[in-house]
Amino acid sequence: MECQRVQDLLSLYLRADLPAGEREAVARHVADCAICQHEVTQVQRMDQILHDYLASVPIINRREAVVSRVMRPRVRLAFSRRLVPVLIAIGLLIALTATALAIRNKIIVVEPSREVSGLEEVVQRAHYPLWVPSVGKLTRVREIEEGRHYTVFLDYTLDDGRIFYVREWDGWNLDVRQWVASIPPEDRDMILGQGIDINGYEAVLFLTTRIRASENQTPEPGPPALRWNAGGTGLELTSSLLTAEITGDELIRVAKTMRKIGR
Amino acid sequence: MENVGYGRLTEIMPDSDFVACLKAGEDAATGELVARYYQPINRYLYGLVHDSQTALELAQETFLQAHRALPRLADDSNLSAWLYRIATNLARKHYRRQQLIHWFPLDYFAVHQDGPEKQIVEKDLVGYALKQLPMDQKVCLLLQVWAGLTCAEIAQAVGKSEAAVKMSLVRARVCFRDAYTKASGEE
Repeated sequence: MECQRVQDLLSLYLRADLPAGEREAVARHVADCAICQHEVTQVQRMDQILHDYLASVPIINRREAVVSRVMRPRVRLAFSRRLVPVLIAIGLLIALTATALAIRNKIIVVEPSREVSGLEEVVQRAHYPLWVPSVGKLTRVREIEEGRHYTVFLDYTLDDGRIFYVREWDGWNLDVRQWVASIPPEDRDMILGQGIDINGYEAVLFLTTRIRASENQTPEPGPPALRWNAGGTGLELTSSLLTAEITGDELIRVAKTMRKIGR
Repeated sequence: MENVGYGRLTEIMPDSDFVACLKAGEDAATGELVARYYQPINRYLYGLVHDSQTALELAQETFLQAHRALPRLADDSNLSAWLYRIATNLARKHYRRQQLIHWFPLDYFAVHQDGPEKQIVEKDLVGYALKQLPMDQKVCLLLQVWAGLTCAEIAQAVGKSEAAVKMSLVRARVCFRDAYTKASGEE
């Protein structure tokens, strides 16, 4: 048995959760392999760390309340069932209203002609000087979560009030920490924070201070005021152009970058 | 029925008889069910959702749903795996409803690593590392490490094949360990 195969099985081996043949093969290998013996201690250590963490997390103890609620579940069930037709009616009403509003605003869907793979491309397309004026004025940026992916919609408004929205697709793979480290310290006050969302994406919000200051201001022509090298990739993320036509709150959404962590 | 107190039924009754008592609607059995599994389920849910209040609400709902589903439970069922499956499904539903982003200051770990709050930071590190895992991997890892379920039981609880669970466990462990060691500066 090779080391990698053995190491994949170690957590099961340590719990006696392997068939007899595999268990014996793993035991034989571990007995003769210093690397895998070290790995055994690492697996045990990580298990202990995780177990200790869960054993000490601050849960709220309402055991008695749970018992009393479990004893009277039928009342709640009957109430819930009565609500079903009401909820269905409300859902239908919302769907109809949204459809009516969409028709009234003459929203036209423009699908991108090719795959868009990253934030830098979203940014470049949104501000490419020849492309944006040919479409309209960027008035809104929306971000919608779809499972493990985030879809960014760029809304452009034409002079006659029609709205184009272009569906952009994230999937960038920047090393956010490295990228943040590349931002000059004097600009760091613009970073709101970074975090991890439920699906394992790392996110960074940035540009808050200066964005708010530049709200409702006409952007000056010329090169962007801020240019950051994105994680050593050679791609530059530009920011000042992002502030051109949208408000601070909306910009926070577009300024969110994400990447998938792990394998 | 005489109140026998939490814990006593556990000592004197095998799982199959306990399920029969639950299905018969005995109050003491219900109390025992909650006494036996409330804390583990609550902590398991905390590990998935990282919030005490949400974990509490999902734990309550777990026991309510379990109580409602009792008539359909086979007498020889694995009670623990069954409850964890209900809790997992509720946590997944919660995830689908909510977009949760947990924010940390940029230099949080670097600043606090050597401070007196080391124990707190250690917890944060583990929580942070846990949050890096995709939901499916996190479920498998916690069911193995915390709930003590076997690979076959996890497969039953999450509705996947044993091979898929084994793969999830391997990936979860790599991801968790990488995140933990990086965040703690061990590498």
